[in-house]
Amino acid sequence: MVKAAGGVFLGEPRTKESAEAREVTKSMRVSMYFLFVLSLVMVILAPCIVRFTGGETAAGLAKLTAKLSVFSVICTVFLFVMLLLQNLFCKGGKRVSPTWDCGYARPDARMEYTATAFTQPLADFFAPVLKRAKKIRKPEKIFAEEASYEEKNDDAGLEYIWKKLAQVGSFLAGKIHFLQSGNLHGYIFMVLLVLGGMLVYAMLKK
Amino acid sequence: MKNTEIGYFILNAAVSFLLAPLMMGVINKTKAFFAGRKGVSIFQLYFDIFKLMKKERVYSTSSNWILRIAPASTMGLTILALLFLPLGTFRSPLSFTGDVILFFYFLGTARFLTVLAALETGSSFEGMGASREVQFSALAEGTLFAVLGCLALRCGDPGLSGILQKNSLQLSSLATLAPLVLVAGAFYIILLCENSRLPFDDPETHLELTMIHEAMVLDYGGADLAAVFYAAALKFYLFASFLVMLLLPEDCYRTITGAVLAVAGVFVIAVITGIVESCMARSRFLKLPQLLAGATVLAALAIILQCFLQGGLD
Repeated sequence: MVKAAGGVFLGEPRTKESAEAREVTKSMRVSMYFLFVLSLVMVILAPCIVRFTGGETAAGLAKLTAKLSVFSVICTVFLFVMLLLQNLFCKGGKRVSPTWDCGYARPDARMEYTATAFTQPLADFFAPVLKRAKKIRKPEKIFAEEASYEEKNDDAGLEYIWKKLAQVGSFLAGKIHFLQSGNLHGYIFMVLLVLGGMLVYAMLKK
Repeated sequence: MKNTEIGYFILNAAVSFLLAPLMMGVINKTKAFFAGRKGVSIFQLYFDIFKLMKKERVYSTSSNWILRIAPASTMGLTILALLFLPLGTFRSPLSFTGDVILFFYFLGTARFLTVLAALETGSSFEGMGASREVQFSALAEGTLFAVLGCLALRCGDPGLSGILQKNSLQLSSLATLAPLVLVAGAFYIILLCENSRLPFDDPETHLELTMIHEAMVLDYGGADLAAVFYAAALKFYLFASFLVMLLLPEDCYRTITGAVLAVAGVFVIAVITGIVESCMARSRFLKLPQLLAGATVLAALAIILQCFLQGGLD
């Protein structure tokens, strides 16, 4: 989540297109606001909703939900109060300035941590169970102009478990494929054989 | 709920709120003592916070609203977590079944906001710190839930108050001590990791390349930095309280003395942390996952022992 949000939305824009990106119009945002308000209403009215949908049997659950609802509202109000207090108690004022980056006056998107770099330590840790493909272009010359690092982590479970199982299934299916001749008479004959077999089994069991 | 319980709840919250910064002073004083120095006052963090409250806040031009709300929200979420902490025999009035998950996820959400704010500045150093923070917290989370699983199994109560109040040291039955001691060991490693203490991170360092938590907050100033410092101190206090309440002997637990010991024990943890930090250097980043893996093994061993002692998972 942090990787996705950080890589896409935070910091300096990484491409010309993202630098020119603008927020959508109000009419398109209304649905999101509506869902937000609906979520809040559902949290506040959760006990009533539980009681209405579950009847008297859900009384115990409604009691717990009421407690959680009150607590959720208190938490939200508390966090807003914290933000207000932060502004009230800060006497020094505010200032906007370029990011501090150890001597660089104005860091740009090329100096930022990329999403790949952000997750690399964790990906390294899980390397034995990941199917990784790395592509490194190392910096050359004294004043290097370009260098890059690409990493692709495929789904190891899909590669090593599900695909292998699918291969076994496919092999077995290939072996019995001859049964699917497409001939209706053949299928009726097979059904007859199975029924006959079941009859013999039932007789032997008796 | 009785008025006495509400009174103790408010007292616990107020005492924790006021004493949290003092813990950092105790750790630094212990480290200074072991280094043969006089060291700064144990109240230094209070002075720093008051001084920072008067200073100007500076925001990065790359940032938007996340950097502005992160410090106050982090502090608010940590305070909300504090409200679930029991004191001695007194349960938190907010407690409910499974609130231990909410307790740790309040702290997790606070970290999530700090990490997002670090990435929002666009600084390479803060990105590096955020990456490391997420790496170690992701690895520590598994260990933490193994610890909680063992404790819940031991007492049969998945609530925070139940876990802390029913898992006391039973000196009369030494056989049951082993899982608790193993779990306490694993939790202490998590405490060091989650609070960016040695050997995971050196809070004293000012070299960005080696920092974790400090690297993430390089762009804060004024009241925002004060909130970050305060939230970090309070988080340490919460983890230390958790550990102390696990290790309080059963006999003194059910008295007012137990509540006093719970608060005093937090400062013992601070002194122990100071001693640990005086005796060792920060480990290499590549070695740290091994330490967390060791903690997970301790917790898993405790679960197996506990199952063995009670004859199954029931």
